[in-house]
Amino acid sequence: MKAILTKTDFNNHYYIARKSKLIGYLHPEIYKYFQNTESDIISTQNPKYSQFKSDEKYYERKYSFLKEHILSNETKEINNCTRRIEEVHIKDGLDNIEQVVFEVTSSCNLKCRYCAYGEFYSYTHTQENRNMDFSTAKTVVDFFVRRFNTPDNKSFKGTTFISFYGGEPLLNMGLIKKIIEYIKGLEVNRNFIFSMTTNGVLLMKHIDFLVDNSVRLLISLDGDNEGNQYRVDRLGFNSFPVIISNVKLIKEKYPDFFKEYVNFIAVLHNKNSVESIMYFFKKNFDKVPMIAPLNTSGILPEKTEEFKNIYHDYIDSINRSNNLNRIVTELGAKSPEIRDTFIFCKQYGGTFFEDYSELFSNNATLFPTGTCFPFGRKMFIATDGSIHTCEKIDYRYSFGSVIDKTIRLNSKFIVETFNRYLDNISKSCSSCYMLESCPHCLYLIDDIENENAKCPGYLNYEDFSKKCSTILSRLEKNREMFNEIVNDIIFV
Amino acid sequence: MMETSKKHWLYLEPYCYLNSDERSGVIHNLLDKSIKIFDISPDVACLMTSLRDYNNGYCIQIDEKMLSKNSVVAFICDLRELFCGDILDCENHREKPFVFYPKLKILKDKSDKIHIGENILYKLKELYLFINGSCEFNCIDCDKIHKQTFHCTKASGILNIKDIQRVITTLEESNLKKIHITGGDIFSHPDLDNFIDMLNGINCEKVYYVHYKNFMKFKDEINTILRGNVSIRVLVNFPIDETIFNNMIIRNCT
Repeated sequence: MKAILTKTDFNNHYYIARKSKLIGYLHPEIYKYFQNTESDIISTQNPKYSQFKSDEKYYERKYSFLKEHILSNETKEINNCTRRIEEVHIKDGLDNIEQVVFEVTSSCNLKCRYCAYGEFYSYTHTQENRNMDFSTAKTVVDFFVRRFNTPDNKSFKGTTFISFYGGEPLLNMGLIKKIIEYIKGLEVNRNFIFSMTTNGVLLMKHIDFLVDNSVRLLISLDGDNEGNQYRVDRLGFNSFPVIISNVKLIKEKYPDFFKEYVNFIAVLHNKNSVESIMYFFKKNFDKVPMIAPLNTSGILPEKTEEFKNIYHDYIDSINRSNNLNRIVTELGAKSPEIRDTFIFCKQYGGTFFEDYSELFSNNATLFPTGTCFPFGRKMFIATDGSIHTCEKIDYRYSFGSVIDKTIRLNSKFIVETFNRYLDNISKSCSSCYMLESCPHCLYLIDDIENENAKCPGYLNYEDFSKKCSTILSRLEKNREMFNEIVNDIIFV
Repeated sequence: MMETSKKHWLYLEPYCYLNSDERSGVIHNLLDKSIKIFDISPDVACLMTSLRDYNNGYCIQIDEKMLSKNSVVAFICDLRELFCGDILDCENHREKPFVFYPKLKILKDKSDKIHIGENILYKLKELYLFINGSCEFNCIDCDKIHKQTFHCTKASGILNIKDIQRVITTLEESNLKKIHITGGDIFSHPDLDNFIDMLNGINCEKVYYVHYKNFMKFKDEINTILRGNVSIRVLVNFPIDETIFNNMIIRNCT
């Protein structure tokens, strides 16, 4: 592997030193040394700036300097991605869990065409139309409360999100009320924030309780009536009229709650666009929604062509817009371009650190892929009591269960399973130029259970150089974006 | 005669650190640790201020007039000799180069526009509360606390419970893991019971420091309110008063 050289739209050349974590502009006179063998270079005193008494071979010396201090670090043959997790990572994650997601029901009152358990996907699901019981939820809450009250919990009065997920969570509102009331009655050194992802059909029925308990709502709505036509009820009717009516009533009845606690998530497909979604939410609610493309993993082979017809790429959709700059500005930190650029700056710029302790660490070895550690961010509990590391991954990757009021988690098993998957993908990662900024979760790699699994996001030198060129061209054209990334924007 | 309208980009490398005061400037190459300290002229001071302004992106435009000044030329020569920066003519390079200026960003500080040093309490792991200074003994090591060796020490004054409460409230959002409680003779603190009760409500380890000569004042009722992750460390210095020490052992360890 080697340092990345890339050229931007303005014909400027840059190097990206992945190991040294440095991104640098290459003076045209130095760039010549990268293009040619050193013997081909004629002495390069700069005739235009005769007032500088540099020696004749100034740029040759500078090239040698860069080679010695930066570029020589980049020549290792493969990425060292041999890092693996240990049981202490699991314990640390559980002791300091940031989010607990309850699948309170697997029932849903809509039948969205692109649903992860719908016609396109091969995902396994727990039993349909099943509700979680309070005993399961209480067992999970008590499990964490014990951990929050030990010294291994690092943050005095830290915050944990308690999130309700489905199916459609409002179909099991009785359980949600019990969980919230139980947690509010606990004596524990922890702040809790309640949140819910909902399709909004039953919102008006339960809104008073949700407002009283400051439950943050993420409402799924794909934009206007036209854009929402894949979100249909059991009879195939577009759910838009019901949902828009509910949302407008909430806005009218609880304006402060709506402003602070209500947000939207829209799925991008061939019936809408980033521009139409943005326009709809801005005009009607003065909000910037989250926008998510369709999940591309787990597609049934016989459905691939049909899926391709409805799939739309996020960045393509933005670039097709007539109001590109306005959209990127309005999206702000939600823009995939800003996220992409942020990750690039964080991983290769050398000045962004997760926390103060990272200033003193120099991990030469990396974990394969960009997967979160099990429970490093959250725990997801399905209706049947099975325990998962995230709601976005297939149910077959279960790590434990809640049985008879007991949490069954085997750290050794979790570590071994997770590390086996890391082993399976590490060959692909070891020669991938994208490794340090990899956004891919190993659980969304279709053949992860095979040795020598192939990552769909693999980038070789040429591909990564092109990606760097796109990002650096963006930064040259929009320097304010870089200032925002450095000063104002944080992704954690 | 030099063409004064001609413009140039003067840019710094991302591994370059610049700083200055009224009289001197410094250029530091963070890769090879080379450093240049020089007397600063008003023109160079102005240039350095502009270069260090992150809004300029570590790259500024200068004209030939500026380049005709000896101090500026010397400064740029120093920059180049340390491989810390260079110039380009704007005619051939209309867009200024993008420089990834080295501004530190700590993501988990979570608040925007934060600088290192702010939110300092978040890094605080341990707290020492010196709750009172009164003590009837004159131990040989009494002043050792001021010599980086831990020992209780006599002093005037007392930390009242309101002030302690204020400190604890301030630290609620910190990363505090351990609180050390020391004196003087902490058993002579007039509000010790309430103080211990207050600390019991905090989820971190507590360590109480008591000199062995004062340990005989340990009341059984205090024992009942010491709850959770608590330990008592008994401080001993020599020569030891064996009578007092043995009495302490007999009373508390048998």
